Parts: sequence; structure tokens; C-alpha cells
Amino acid sequence: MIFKLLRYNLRSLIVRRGGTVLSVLSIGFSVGILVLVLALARGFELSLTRTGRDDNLIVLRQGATSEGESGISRDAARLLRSYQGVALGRDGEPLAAPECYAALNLEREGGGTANFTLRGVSAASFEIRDFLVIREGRKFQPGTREVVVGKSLVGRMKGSKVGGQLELQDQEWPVVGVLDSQGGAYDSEIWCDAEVLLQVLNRPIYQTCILRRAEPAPREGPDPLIAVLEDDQRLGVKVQTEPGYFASQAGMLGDVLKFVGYFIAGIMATGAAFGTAVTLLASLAERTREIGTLLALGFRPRQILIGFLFEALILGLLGGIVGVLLALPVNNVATGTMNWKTFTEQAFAFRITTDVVIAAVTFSTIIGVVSGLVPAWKASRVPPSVALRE
Amino acid sequence: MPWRLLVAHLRRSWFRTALTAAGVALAIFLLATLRTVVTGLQSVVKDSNANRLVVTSALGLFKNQPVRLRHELQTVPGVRDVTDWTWFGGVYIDEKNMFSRFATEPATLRRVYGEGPRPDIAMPADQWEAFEADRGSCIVGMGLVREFGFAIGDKIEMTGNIFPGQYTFTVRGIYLKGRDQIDEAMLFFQWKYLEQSIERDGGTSEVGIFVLACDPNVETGAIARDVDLRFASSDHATTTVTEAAFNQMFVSMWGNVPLLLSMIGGAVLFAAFMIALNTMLLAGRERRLEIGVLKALGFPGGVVATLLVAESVLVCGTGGVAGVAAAHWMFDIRRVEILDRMFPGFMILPETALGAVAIAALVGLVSGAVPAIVATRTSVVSGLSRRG
Repeated sequence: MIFKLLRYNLRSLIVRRGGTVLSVLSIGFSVGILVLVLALARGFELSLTRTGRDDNLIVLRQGATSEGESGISRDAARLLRSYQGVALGRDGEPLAAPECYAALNLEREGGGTANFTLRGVSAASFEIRDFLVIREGRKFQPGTREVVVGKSLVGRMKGSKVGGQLELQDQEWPVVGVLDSQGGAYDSEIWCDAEVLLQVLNRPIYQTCILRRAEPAPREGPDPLIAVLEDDQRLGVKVQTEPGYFASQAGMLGDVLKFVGYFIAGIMATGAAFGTAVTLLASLAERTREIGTLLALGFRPRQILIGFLFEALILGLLGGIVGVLLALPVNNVATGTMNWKTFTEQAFAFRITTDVVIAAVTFSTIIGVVSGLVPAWKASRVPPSVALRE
Repeated sequence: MPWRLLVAHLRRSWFRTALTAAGVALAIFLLATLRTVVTGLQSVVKDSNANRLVVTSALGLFKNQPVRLRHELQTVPGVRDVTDWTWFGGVYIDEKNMFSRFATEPATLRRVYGEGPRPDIAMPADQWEAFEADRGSCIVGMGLVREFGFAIGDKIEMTGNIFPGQYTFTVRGIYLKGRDQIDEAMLFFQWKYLEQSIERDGGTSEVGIFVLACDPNVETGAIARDVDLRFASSDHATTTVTEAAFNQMFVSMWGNVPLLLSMIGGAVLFAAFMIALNTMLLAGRERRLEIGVLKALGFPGGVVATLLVAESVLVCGTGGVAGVAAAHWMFDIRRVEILDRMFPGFMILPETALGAVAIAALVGLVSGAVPAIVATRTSVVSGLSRRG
């Protein structure tokens, strides 16, 4: 019986298609915005959290929250290389690479400037991050000013292609290769030789050290290698896994973006819910007679209420689908933003992932149901005698 | 003109009228907010001090510069005063407590930012003097006082990360921002205090950026070129830009955000239009009978159409005014700390307010016009007949 009623409500949406389309569109636009901003937040997070291997450790100075704030002395770097628990590379050398870090204000392609990350790396850096490939060109020659650029910088930063030049302190730094970290944060970085960079920066110490552990971390409980490193008074460091470190860099901006997304979409959706309620109320006014008939046929007021809520739910659901479809063209569109933690440009792409779609459709369905509350309640209160007389 | 009909219509379907106005109000609130983010960012550049130059290392913001450059900069013709800002970083209790902390030289900071009829950093003279006199002192902005309850005489403990060690600062002054673009959540302490710990660790005495206050009526571009030329072939080459260009750098880091916000604004506008159009189409359809009656009574079609349009403009315009008023109350009167912090100069400009109301009225005009055109075409007979 109830299914017959629900079919009646569905048919009503088709009969009054003008109002249906306008309601679905107004919900769809707010959901589209939600998808847009959530996809932005998701793409940003993914570009950072997908970075690195779990058995790589990033060593920062105690209290430092990002590589730019950190410092690792040459003594500490030497100590780290000789530590038990650090894996050995193909050449038998320990896989521990001290690195340095600078932010350069360089010209963007298409006007304006941005801070780009310049990472000075050691010989072992490439082997430790074996997920990296040089997609084009070759690695830089150690001891020279040659650089390789992350693939996301190609087309975003001036001169970032094989054969291009970066200009720094009146010196030309030739670009000899393009780096691909499979969608990780390194795709937004410029890499050069650490010793050359330290000399140019006139800095006595490195910023960080990355190392590969010999034994995998225990599945549960405290990690002995991290504990030993952090307890070593000579080092004064804090140690995070490579993915853990990059995830911590995403924290705030990802949260802010999600908040902004729900804030904007929440306000828009409230407006859309008002509009949908107007449509439903109007269609209710035209259908008093039909409701009277339904009641006369033996349907209960509660069933009428459910029927109208169902109608609103369908409007919300359709709005959600339309919203996702409207936002779909931005999927994988590349963009970039400043990472507030490091003040450098982080390139990434919009990502409309399954969880974004689920969040958006759930959101729109809720809007639909909320907008249907008052109309459905009113519908269930229609007195049959009056309704039939209309 | 039968204006009373208009009021009667609005009152008859008061719930719908209220919902529509509220829907438009929300959209306009959002539109004004989004626009204000963009104008706020622009104002940061526009309201920069034309007499100031910022000297950074040619290697970027993260490279500090030898402190001895200060004396050399002081001798450049046209430069009246030199002060410096050094980004300290550090952790206050928890990493989540993010606010800017700078080491500086109090006396020159005061001369460059704290004097004149409308100083950027406004603080009573005795507090400036206390800041200058005590090497372990600091000053904080009113924003930090609101957030952390700092008071004069309080001790603030911080853990260094860029500059390792434990630091204790005594609050000697509380400043107010002199214009909206100044961050009111900064902490300044004496660079001399920082130098002690740098020397202890065997580091080099460096500061972050120098800010030059130039003589009025001199061409700052020439001074900037002069400065950069002096250090060009040294190992501490500089890049000197106007304060506006320096601020522009931070604004341009926002990248596509202004464009994205404009796109969102467009969608918001469209959604508002959908809501208003929907309501007016319903109103037009409901009123077939009345339209027929009015026409039968001899009112010309124009009257009917005008009533519909006027009703729509009134409802949407009211919504627009309410939306702008809500935004004004929230951002300009109540103030939202986090927005002030993220977007310096976050205040609703008069042109934003007027523009938003105008857009609301326009949405009303167009939404009302559609059923109005239908109404003028409705013949008396089809209007009066129940089914048409």
C-alpha cells in the first residue's frame, strides 16, 4: 500500500516538473560548491599524505614543526649515519641523507611570484626515496648548480623544463631533469646538491636528515628505533615517518578548507532548502484535493507525511547527483596553493574521490528531508472533509 | 496603482515570502563575505606605506641577512630609518598556538611603525620606553590579549625551534593596530635577547628582513636599486622592494583562491536566482484568477505586471538588505578573530554592501519579470476560467 503512495509522490514530481527542476538545481548548485571545495581539500591532503615510504624516517630538530624550522648539525648527521638500525644501500653505505631546505621566491608561469621549495639532497636521498623516478632528462651532477624540478612545477614555474634555467643570486641554475614522485609532495619541489646549496646559503648546518630503517617498525607498541634516536642527548631530535611528517604538514590547511567548504555549502544549502520548501508548499496547495482523496481511500495521515518526506528526499538526492555532475569537470584539474606550514607553493589536483561523493550526496539528501519537514507536516494535517470540497 | 494588493499578496503567503527573503538573504550574506575576502586581500597591497622599502635576501624569505648590513643601509641617501624583523618561529605551550613572533630592535621599530598621527603599531609612550629598556621584554597585540589573556607584567615562556632553547619574555606593552591591514596578533621581542642565544650556539648574528623608512618625496625605486647594487657582488646580495610589492608577494601566494571564490560567488548568485524565480512563478500561477479579475475590472496588463515585479523586487531587496546587515554585524561589529587573522583588512566595503543589495534587487527584477510577461499575455477569459 505504502509503495503505491510513494509512486504517487514520485509521479507528482514528474507532473510538476518546473518546480522540481528549479529545486533540484538550487540544491545542486550548493552541493556542487561543496564538492568543489571538498575535492580541493582532498587533493591537497592526498598530495601530502601519499608521500613516502613507511620505513623512511625524517629527523627534525626537537620542537621543529616543519623542515624550514629545523636544523641538523654536521656532527649529528655523522652520528645518524653510523646508527645501528639504519639500512645499508647497494654500495654498502648507510641510507641516511642529510638535506637542506630553502624557499625561493620565483616567477610563476603566467605572472606573479610564489615561494618554491628548493631541497638540497645527498647521494643517498634518491635511493632512500626509491619511489622517485627521473621522468625526463637526468639527475643533477653533484657539486654543480644543476637542478631537477618536480613534475607539478612544469608549466607552473617559469623555466621549469629540461633545458630551462632558474635564476638565483645572479647565477644561472640549469634544469636538467624532471622528477616524478607519483603524486607526492616532492612533485612541487626543486632538487639540487646539498653541499652546493649550503655554500650558497652560507649556512653551516643541514636542516633535516632522512634515513631508511633496516628493520620494519613493530606492528604494535612503541617504536624502539624512534625512541632511541629521540632519547639520544647528543642529537636532540624528533623523528617521524616520512608519510607521517607530510601528513602533519597538511593538517591545518586541509581542515580549514573542509570548514570553508561546509560553511559555504551549509549557508547555500539552507537557502536551497527554503526554496525547496516553497516548491513543496505550493505543490501541496494544489494537491489538497488529491490528499483528501488519498485519506478517503484509507491512507493514514502518517503515511501521507512519509510520502511527502520521500518526495523531498528524492529532490535532495537528485540535487546531490546534479551537484556532483556539475562539479565533475574539475576532477584532476591541477592547481596550487600556499602551504601555510612552510609558506611554499604546493601543487596538487582537485580529487573527487568516493568519500567526497558520498559526503555530498548524504548532505544533499539531508537538505531535502529538512526542507520537506514543514510541508510534510502540513500535508498530514489536511482535514479530509475540507480537502474533498476544494 | 493598487499598492494595497501588493501588501495583501505578501501577507497572504507570508510563510513563503519569509522563506524566499531568507533564502536570498543567505545568498547575499555569502556573496558579500566572499567578495570581502577578495577586497581585503587587495587592500593589503593598496594600503601599503609608499615610503617604506623591504630588504630581503636575494635567496628568499628564508635566508637571514648579516645584522651589520643595518649600518650600511643607514648610510644610503634618502633612507631615514632602518628597522628589522626576524621570524622566530617557536612553540608557545602547544604547536597549535600559531601567531607571528618577531625579534626586532625596539627603538627603530618605534620610529618606523610607532610614530606619527596614525601609527601602524599604536602603543603609549611609556610602554615603548619599557620595551626599549628591558632586554627580556616583549610587546603583544590586542588580538593576543583577547585570545590568551596576556597582561602587562606577564611572563611568556617559549621553546625555540629555529633558534633552539628556552625563552622567557616579560610583557611590557600592548599595541593596537593603526589600520585594518596590520596583524594585531603579533609578538615582538628584542633581537638583542635572541643574539645572546645565537652567540651561545656559535651561530652567526643575522636578522630576517630590513625595513627602510625613506624620506618623503624621494623616489623609492631609485633607493631600492641603489641598495641592491651595493650588495650585488657580495655573498649577501639583497632584493629590495616596496612594502606594496612585498605584501603583493604574500597575496599572490593565495594563487587561484580569488578566482575560485568568484566562481563560488557565481554559483551562489545562480542558486539565489533559482529560489526567487521559483517563488515568483508560483505566485504568478496562483494569481491567474486575480489577474483575470483585475483585467476584467479594467486595469491594464501593465498594472498586473508591475505588481508582480514590485513584489519580487521588494522581497529580494529586503533579503539583500538583511543579508548585508547580517554580514556587517558579524564581520564589522562582532568581528571574527580567525578571519581577521587570516585576511588582514577583512571589512565590508561600502561598495560591496551597495553592490550586494543591487544584485539582490536585480535578481528580484528578473525573477518578477518572467511571470509578469506571462501575466500580461493572459486574457481575461483564460484568467477567469479555472482551467486554462
